[in-house]
Amino acid sequence: MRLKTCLLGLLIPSLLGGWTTAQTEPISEASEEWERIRSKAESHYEMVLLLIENKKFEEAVKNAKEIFSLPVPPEKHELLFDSAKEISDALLHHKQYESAHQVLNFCFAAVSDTTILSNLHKEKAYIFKKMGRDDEAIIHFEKSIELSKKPNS
Amino acid sequence: MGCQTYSENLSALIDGELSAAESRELQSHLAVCTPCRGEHESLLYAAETVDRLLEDRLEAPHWKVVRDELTTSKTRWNDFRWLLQPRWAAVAAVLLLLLFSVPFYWSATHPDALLAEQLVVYVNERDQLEEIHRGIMDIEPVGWVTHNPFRVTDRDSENPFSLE
Repeated sequence: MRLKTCLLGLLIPSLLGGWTTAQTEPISEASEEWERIRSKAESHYEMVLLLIENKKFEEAVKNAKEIFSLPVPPEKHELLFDSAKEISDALLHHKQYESAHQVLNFCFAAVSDTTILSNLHKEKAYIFKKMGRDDEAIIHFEKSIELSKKPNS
Repeated sequence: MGCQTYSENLSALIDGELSAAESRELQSHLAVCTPCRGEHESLLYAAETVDRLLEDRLEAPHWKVVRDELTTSKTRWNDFRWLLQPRWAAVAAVLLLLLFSVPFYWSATHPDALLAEQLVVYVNERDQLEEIHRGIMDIEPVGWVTHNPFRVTDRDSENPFSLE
């Protein structure tokens, strides 16, 4: 009950268009759309971490998918990586390796920047290593190194 | 030659110091002369007794230990003496060279090994960070420690959402 109240408290402001942050910062017309997306992402992110904290991992993954489905502009894709990394770290803390992989895969589908892709491969390598699947870890680590040498797309 | 002369040569016969001809002549005399044969047998018995005594003394435990030690140490040294031969020294040098070059060869022909090494370094670094993070999370719940990348206030120092 307490969790549901908390989640509703986070979701309602985001559905209203992120007016909470709008109160503190001036928003131009050009950034209005982004502000709406950012606010949704922010709320979903908070929900994901709360769900992980309450060991509701499947729901957490579903909510994480929502973040990566948002039309985040390419120049803000770094934020998607940051959130994917933080969420996968939180899942790793609970030894939810498969869920952590799922979250990183969502991020893979959402970004195209070479540096971010390289970092994502490195994260996957880390998780595979933790799972004891060294061969797969090395494959992803190698891909990460290869991508880090390529110029940004 | 009289019994006196033969008698003087009996010790030399026992010790094997006579020539073949002298020995033959004395043996012929002993075959026919009972007193000389008796004296010869007496001397022979004395010589055998002395030999047996000497042998017993040499077989005493401490002598046996000394003898064994001398024999063993000699054998040990002989076991490795072949290493001093130049061809074996060359073989040993080649083996040492191979032994030290294996890691370099392995790295060159197995890039995966190098990657695996780098991965281990990376994982260790991450683990150290994870330890610190875990320490903080033990004090406070996860949701309130991990920063939200999408929250503007979490990026005060370098705000990517700045609308300027």
